[in-house]
Amino acid sequence: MTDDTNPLDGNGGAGDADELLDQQELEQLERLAAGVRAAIGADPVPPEVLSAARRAWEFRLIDAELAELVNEEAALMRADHDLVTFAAGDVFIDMDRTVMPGSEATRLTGQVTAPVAVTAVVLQLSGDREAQVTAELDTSGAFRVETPGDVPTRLLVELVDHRYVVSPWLR
Amino acid sequence: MDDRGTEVATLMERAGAGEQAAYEALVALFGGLVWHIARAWGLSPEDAADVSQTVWLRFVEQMERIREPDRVGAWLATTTRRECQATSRRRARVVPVDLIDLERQGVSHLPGVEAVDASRLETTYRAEAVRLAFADLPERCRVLLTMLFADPPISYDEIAVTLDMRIGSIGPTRQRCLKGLKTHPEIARINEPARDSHLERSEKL
Repeated sequence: MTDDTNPLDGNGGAGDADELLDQQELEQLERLAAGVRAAIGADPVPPEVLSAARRAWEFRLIDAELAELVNEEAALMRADHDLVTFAAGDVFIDMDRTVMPGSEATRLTGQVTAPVAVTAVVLQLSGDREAQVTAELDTSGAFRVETPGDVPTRLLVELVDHRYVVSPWLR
Repeated sequence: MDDRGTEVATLMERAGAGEQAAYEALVALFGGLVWHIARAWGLSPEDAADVSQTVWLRFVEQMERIREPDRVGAWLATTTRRECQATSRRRARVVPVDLIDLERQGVSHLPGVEAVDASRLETTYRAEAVRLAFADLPERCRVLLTMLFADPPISYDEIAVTLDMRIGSIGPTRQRCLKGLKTHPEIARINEPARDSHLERSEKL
């Protein structure tokens, strides 16, 4: 897909004297390019960032269906509160996220709607806090759990027929 | 598909089949790209690390759904930019890139200034000017230059997909972005006839 009106695209617009750059200016630009390359090179990826990236593999789920975000709205225009809905086929996860006052912790309350009974809702934490927290769950599929809020988390839903549905990572 | 595209597509297939080593090879190939885009966005090292982690978690989660496995670099770049946006929204303000305060670290305030290696100081000064000017470029320019100068390199194909532009536009746009750098006051100041003593011998940019 292209966008002719994009000011950054090379065609059209005011800057078409580009091709007429003289040798001196060209060399100047290449020196700047080398400077940018050096600046990027001077900020190498910290090894712990790469090792965290490699550890992401441990969160690979093979047997769970990934629920997609189908709706998101900021409730009452408040930044500390939103409502999200995820769906995987006939399983829906409606969730209300509230940031706890005075901390980064977030409370998740919601409802899993599925054709069969929900047996567990588990909050999975990534990163250094790698852990699982089992949510409070009632027989109607309503759940409630708190997250520390400073690492990506996701919800894993287990249904009575051993189907698993997982939400995307939440941040 | 070029050789690199084939290599990446093969790694994707092997990772999709559950081979961890293939996934780690992809991290080795593209880990730098994700990091540098987050840094080029203006995120602090801490926020860039968070963004990188989230991007790789999403990659593992979505791996089997990526439709063009030879363009996974473009997928990662786009996902990184989206996560950077989300981080900026959460932070409400973006912490500027790690800048050296030249006024504080500069010549005039350093004791024993004569002992400072002049050429090294000039190199630092020029590098800092480039960094300051780079931080002020439009976001698309920063991402474009970051992708162009990534090591290992990103293909023109992937850059075009990521930035939604024609391959033929990449070269001219690169020049335009570099011109944006050249006219930035920080760079222009260096290129003016030297007024500050420590700049007299400095090479122009």
